[in-house]
Amino acid sequence: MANGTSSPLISRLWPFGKREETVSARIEDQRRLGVIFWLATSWILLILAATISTNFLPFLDPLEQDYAAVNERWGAQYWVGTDHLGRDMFSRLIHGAGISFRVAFTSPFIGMAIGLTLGMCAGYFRGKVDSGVSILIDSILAFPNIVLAIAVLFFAGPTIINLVLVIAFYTIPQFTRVARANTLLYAQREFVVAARAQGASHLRILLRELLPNVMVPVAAYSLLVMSFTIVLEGTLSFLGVGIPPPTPTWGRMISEGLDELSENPFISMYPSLFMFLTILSLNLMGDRLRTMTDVKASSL
Amino acid sequence: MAYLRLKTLHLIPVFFLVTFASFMMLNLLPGDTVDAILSDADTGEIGSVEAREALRKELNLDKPLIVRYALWLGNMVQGDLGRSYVTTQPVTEALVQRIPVSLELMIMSQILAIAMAIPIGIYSGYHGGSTVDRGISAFAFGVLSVPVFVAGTIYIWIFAIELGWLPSSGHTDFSRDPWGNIKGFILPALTLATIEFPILMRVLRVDVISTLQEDYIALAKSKGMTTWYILFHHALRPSSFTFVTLLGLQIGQLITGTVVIETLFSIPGVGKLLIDSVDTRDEIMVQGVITFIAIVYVVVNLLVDLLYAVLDPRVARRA
Repeated sequence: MANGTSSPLISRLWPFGKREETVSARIEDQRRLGVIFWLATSWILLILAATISTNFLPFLDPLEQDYAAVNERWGAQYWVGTDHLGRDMFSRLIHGAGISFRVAFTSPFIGMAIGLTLGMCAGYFRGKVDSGVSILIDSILAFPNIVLAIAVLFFAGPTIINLVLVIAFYTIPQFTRVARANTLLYAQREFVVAARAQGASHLRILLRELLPNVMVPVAAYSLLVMSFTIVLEGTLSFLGVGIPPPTPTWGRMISEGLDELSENPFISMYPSLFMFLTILSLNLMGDRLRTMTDVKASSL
Repeated sequence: MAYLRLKTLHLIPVFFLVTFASFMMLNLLPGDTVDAILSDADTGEIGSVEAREALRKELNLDKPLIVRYALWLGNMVQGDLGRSYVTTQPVTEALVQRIPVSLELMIMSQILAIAMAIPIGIYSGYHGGSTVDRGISAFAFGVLSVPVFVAGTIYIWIFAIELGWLPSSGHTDFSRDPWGNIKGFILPALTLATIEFPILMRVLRVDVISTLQEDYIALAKSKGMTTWYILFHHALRPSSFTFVTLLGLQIGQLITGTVVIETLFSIPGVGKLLIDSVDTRDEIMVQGVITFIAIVYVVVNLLVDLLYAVLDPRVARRA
């Protein structure tokens, strides 16, 4: 879902500011990040800060069951209420973000490192290297992602390392494609030709000339990949094949709340809302940055 | 024809890779494979000596890896994926029972997704740039940020719990109770369709916008044809090319989507079989179902590629 297909969609979504129809105004429009981008960034930073602060701020224990306060609504002690076992939901939401963010901030970087290497080599050397890389990518995509993840977590054990690695595996094709496309483009530019004429080695050209340029769109793209990893992690937790209990995760909180929907829909709805806002924020940020760094769009 | 041959040849290494990966999964199990399969999830008992020897023989664990793979592959091609050590049911039999259910879910959800995407996409494209169009686009962007299981949970809450219109789970045979069967599929199919349709709609919208710039549309307009007639008779067909391709490409996402939806709505399809087998630690069944899904996925992707080449001969010539 994260690898949306089209166009500067986001510029159509911009409700703020005048929408001038002249070309220069439109280019100017694309250079601005806009209010929504900053709202999205604030949400991500807020959740991130909350997650980190669980290490030293006195949040309630997300596992402690208070049978005197089961299915409670919001109040002074339990800010957003408790679940069917009397556990503090606010604390569970924040701790649940921990797993999602841990995956979102590690898997894409492993995938990015591998994808950048593969994509840049494919785009720079082309020919045999290119077709070799494309066979490799096809093979990765031959398995539907959730099914392979279920298999690996089931047979090799549901640990966070396995989870991070199997999700990282699925981010490789996306990064490879972006890196390859941009390398193809920059490899034709004058500064690369000049470097080659000066006798620079392949490695030097790749690292000093191409990497800094290719890195920008790839880094912008990583936000979209992060949202993809959060969806994947949530789905696995929801199916009960992710990180095992008692560690709270958003996905499992939603599935635990299913039987309580008539009694206390908030058990499922709060984590649903948090997940939606987080994914939406990452998609908004990623889409915006991608439009800004897109070579095709900016060279117009 | 050359394209067909090339694509089919490409399938062979992918087929071996996928089956080998599925085969190797059993070897990922920690400790002795026989222990892992026979040991009871609750009591930790590991079974009698005879049972262990029988299983060791059945899995050919006394033979080298590559021989084991060849034997397993030979059985698989003949439709034998082994048998469950929890329910003693053969894997293939379990799959055959559940495939129709999953297929029904997929077909219903695709029909719903198309039924939602075409009118909205055409409307949005026709009124391109208007406030309504921008609203629809923003809405679609939002929906794309909703994971399948979140959408399903919200639907269950609204339509099954609060309004009580539709059942939230349970499945009845079509032959026994056709209406009950369809009723049980509405919410699951609607959930999948909700997630699928924004992507289809966006593609159709873009294509409609570009088709409407064509000269023959202007001609049709100048002849005084109604907008409705122009949109559905002149604009829809040439705009639906990418749309049809995307429908094929979406099948992969549909397969993973059904795993989630079947688990959420307790529909006894292939996906539910997979998750149930994971819960009961039924190793052979998990391996069999995963092999099956992976092969279906590879074959479907090949068929989509070929269909694409039939629809647009330029693809075949380029390759």
